[in-house]
Amino acid sequence: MKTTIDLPDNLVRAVKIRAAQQGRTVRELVAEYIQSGLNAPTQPTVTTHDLPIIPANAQAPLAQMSRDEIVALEYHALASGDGDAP
Amino acid sequence: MHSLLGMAMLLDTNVWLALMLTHHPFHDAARRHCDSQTPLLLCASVQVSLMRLLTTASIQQHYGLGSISNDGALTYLMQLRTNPRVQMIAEPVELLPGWMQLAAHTTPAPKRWMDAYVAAVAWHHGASFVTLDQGCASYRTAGVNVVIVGETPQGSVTA
Repeated sequence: MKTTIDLPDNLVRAVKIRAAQQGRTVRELVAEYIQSGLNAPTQPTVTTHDLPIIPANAQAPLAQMSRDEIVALEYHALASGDGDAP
Repeated sequence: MHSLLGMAMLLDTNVWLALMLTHHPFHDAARRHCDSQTPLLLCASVQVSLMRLLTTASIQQHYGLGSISNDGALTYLMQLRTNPRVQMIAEPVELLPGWMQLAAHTTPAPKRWMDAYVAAVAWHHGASFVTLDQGCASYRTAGVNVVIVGETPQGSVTA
């Protein structure tokens, strides 16, 4: 596919020189450089918004539980080990 | 104690749950605290506790989770572990002295064994120990950097 991109003169000159040195076409080199950029790992800002969210019923008792109630419930669940599925 | 991880944060099981459940009363507070570029550390014992809680009937009922199988819980775990901010850290044998120091108590205190163990992991790695459990604040006297989610600098707590 043909496309037109407005590039800085010095960049175009550098690509042409490199193409001549390597005996390749400008088209080949530009395609290679773009592909290389697309393949490079991105480094996005990673926040807790990237952590998994577990679907749940928002009306469940949890929403009204206090800090101490949550801590106690989780402790007793771990201590008792009850409720295993068959 | 090592300090290779700077002020990375070892999250208690209760904080992981707060982060992953939007209706959790401390969801927003946990997110505010953890929304940075600081590594979120996960150790094997917290990992196991998280899996146990997600698949325990009383937790599923109180938290409105429906039925989560072990396979389902493992799917969430893999999503956590592949997050670039989440790092697994080791629980080396050298933890023993720190764990014994933090777990020691003059009365029977069974809950303290695991709390002290996770705090000792954070302590060993020079990380802060982030939890909802205000009872863990006592480890500060030993030098552990305990962060209570929702706690203001004055010591009062908010969600």
